[in-house]
Amino acid sequence: MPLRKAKQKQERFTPFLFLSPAILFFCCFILFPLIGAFGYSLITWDFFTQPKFVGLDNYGKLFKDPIALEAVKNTFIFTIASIVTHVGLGLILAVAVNRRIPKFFAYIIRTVFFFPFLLSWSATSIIWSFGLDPTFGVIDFYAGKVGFPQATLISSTWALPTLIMIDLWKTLGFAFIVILAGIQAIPSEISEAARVDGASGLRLFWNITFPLCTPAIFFVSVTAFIGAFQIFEPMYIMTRGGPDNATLSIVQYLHMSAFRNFDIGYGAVISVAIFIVVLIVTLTQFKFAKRWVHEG
Amino acid sequence: MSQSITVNAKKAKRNFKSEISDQVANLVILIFAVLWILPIVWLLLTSISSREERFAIPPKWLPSKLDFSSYTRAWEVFPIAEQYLNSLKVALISTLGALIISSLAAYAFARLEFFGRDTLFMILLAGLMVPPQLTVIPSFVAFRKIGIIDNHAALFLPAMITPLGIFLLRQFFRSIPKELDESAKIDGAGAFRIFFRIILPLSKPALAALGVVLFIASWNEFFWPNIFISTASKMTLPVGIASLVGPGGNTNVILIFASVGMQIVPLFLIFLFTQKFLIQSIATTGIRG
Amino acid sequence: MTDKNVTETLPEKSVFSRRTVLKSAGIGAAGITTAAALAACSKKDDGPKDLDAATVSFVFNGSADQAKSWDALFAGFKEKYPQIDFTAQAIPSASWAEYADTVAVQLAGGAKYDVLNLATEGALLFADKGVVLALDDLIARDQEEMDIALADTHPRLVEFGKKYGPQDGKTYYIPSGGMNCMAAWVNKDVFAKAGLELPTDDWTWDDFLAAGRTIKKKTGAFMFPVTAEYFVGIMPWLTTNGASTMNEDWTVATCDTPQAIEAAEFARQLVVEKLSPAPGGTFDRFELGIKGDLAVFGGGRWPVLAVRAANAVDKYEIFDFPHKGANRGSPVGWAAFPIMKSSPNVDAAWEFVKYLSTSSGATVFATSGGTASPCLKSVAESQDYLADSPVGTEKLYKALDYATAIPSPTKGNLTQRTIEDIWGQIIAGNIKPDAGMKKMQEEVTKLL
Repeated sequence: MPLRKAKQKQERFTPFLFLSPAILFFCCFILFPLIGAFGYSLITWDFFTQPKFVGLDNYGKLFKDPIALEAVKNTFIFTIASIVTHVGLGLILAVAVNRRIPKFFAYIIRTVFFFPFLLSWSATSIIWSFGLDPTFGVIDFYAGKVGFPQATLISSTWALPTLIMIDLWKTLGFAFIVILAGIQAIPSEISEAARVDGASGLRLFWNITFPLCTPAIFFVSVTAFIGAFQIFEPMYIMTRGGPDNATLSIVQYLHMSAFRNFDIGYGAVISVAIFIVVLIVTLTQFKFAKRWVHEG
Repeated sequence: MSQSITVNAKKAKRNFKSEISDQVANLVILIFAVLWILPIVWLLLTSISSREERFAIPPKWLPSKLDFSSYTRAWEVFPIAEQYLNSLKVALISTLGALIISSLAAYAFARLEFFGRDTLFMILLAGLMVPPQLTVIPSFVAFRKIGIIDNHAALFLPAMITPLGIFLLRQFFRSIPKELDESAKIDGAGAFRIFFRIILPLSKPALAALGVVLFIASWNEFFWPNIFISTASKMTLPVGIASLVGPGGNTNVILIFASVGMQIVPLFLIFLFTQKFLIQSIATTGIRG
Repeated sequence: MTDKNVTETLPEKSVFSRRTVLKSAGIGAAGITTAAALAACSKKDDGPKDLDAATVSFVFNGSADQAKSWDALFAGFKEKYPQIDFTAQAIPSASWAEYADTVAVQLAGGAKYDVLNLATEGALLFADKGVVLALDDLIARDQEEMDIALADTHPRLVEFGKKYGPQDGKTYYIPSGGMNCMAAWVNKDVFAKAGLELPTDDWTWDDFLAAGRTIKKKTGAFMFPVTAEYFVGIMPWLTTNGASTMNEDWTVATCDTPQAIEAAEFARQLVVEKLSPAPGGTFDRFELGIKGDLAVFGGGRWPVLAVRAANAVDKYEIFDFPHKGANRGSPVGWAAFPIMKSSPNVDAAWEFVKYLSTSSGATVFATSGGTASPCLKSVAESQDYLADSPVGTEKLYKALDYATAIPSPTKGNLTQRTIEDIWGQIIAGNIKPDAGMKKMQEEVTKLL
């Protein structure tokens, strides 16, 4: 009997043993910093001198800051464009590859469109910033030949669309393979049956393929949102937010406030704002998902 | 009978039509594919062109003679080897740590009964919504207190907790038939034994898939190491390479091209051989990095 | 200084500056002797302490390809003080402002350095954060040695150092290791190919434009890279027309003066006439220049490394920047080696600063090419500096006679970002020069 009791007691602790590392790390690197961010948003501090409690002043400053507004606007444009282009082109590509095409051809397509996803943003930015040089850049040169705008990175009209395109270049491969996996998971009997019923082309797509791969599409749009909303690297490396703050992203503004202007409290306020938006949008996405995502 | 004949005839007609549109579609995709990869090809070709030929107007694609001097020079001048090792070290430790911590927790959530299990799981999962941008400032302040700024620990420690990893592994563990651990339990095996002897070995594919995407995410991470690491010899590759680029270019462009080339080429070779596994891992885990 | 590669030296204050006045009044050697005697009286046995087992850690702005120059400098120090455990850390940065930001973040993160390499852009920021040590006592301890160096330093640098340092009566920064002015690096081959005579130091914007047109027509090469880099691309055009971004005290923006607008118009004109590669991109101007596709680029001392590496020293001759009317001009930036307040190794750190600040260190740096011109006249005139460098290298030092200190107020990193952003749009033609400079004026005013 006492042996069994001891064993029971041990078993009660077992879950804790399994969970303790995760809980410890969760507290140290997610929970406490989360609380800390809210705390820092209430002070004014520059890392060096004495911090000062200012209550909600930093929040008030955020709402009156035209640059923050600009950054929010850019980030939303970037995010919406990113979701639309990734889902749209990803879907087209996936459908295109999901036909009876030579194996080697499929291999090439996968390699070409997926490889940029494996590159770091730094390498990507270097390729594009030199490629887009208006005099010596090969991309800019051919863009001019076919009548596209040139010197786009210094144009306050075209800089943001250019970055959207570069982001698409880099991460389309991800959307593509996730949607492709979704399509390929559709049981072949279903599409065969539809074909026998005479469905083809667009009808097959709208009635069968699209509804059945909505989970994958949903997934791509959620990740595209999170990725795009937190975009930082291409602006930081290629345009520094310019020209005229036309490419300043909200995360870059956070970086600028906290680690360039050394306004820690204000940086924390921006980070809290980012958190709240991510939270709201992600939860809304999941809520609406019930309406259109096929549950398999 | 007659019905099936008409169906067949229709089918044949359609097949012929779709054959043509298929070929047209293939051609369009092929053109796009070539355009897609051209920037990378341009960078690589430029990096092995001689001074006279590179950056010519109009662009000269194929170098008349190969010149690898920019590679040898970049290798001499930049701490690329060190940065490779740093990236490798950080990515490996992050990945291993995350796999260990996530699988332990995932097992408890998938198989063990305890008070508040689902609540705790939801709390951990909510961590998914906490972006690194939110935690960066408090972490920076905390890390300086314990003295790990400009230290690789500042990179791999926070990377070891991944709510998504816990979630995915929990899903996978739950798909393993429970009868397996039941019979082990009858043989007297405890939770740890079951975890190590039954669950982990059966989860190798899931662990490998998660591991590979975590590795890639760490390998390419920029935001965090850019803030926490400032010594060139401690930088990871993405930060190291970005620090070489200045506005307007008092920078030695060709050396930068060569060092990007040194990142791209090995990556591409690895990708060619592991493509299927890599793509599957990413498709199944859905981690964008 | 804006450039990646510039390295300079900073100024000083009170005790120091009084002496400067004496010196420039012509008292010279007598002054030194008196001062030395005074110093000897007041600070008898307070010489260098026991330096065994002392450590010095130093952080500087340098890319990996400039490391050799710095290594030579460090080797000299290690040889002189083998007992000091010396470590150096390079931070490769695109600009001095960015470098200052990086170091500030490191310090905020608890980095322990003893000595910093810090340029005009950043000097006020660091003093403002209260992280640098007042050097007055240390200077007094080695008055004689410091006075010799000071007497050898260009008086305008000394003056700038005093004027643009923190105004609390203390000395944090000594103008010592290096400074940069801007000059025109002319590729002689391109001029010859276009059938042009080499310019003179007195050339004007009109001469420059005419030469550019001829070169474009005859050889197809570009004349000059018009860029939006504060020190390298913007200030040279402003200063050669008697303008600047701010007034002399860096308290009032002066971006929309007629002269400043004129400078912006001229820069834009060079772009319109395609005498400059189109702005808004990224290219390697040294590579283009050495290749012969670019006739002139602007620079201080730092291009010498690229030119030497390409065996092109003989291809180049350095001239003063072309000017408008009677005003010759150039920006100047300088760097100092402040000691950190938190340093536990002040004595050893001071030895290092002294080494950098006096001719021994400066000579090593000058010989190895370095990234900046020396602050010391004797070194700037020596063969150590002039050998294996283009004809006219001495002008990089002489430009100090008329140079304007690069305006870098406490929030200099932010003003610089604004100035570069708007100038970039002006030269790209996205905004008219006058409207752009007015906008710059507004934005900079907000930050001051």
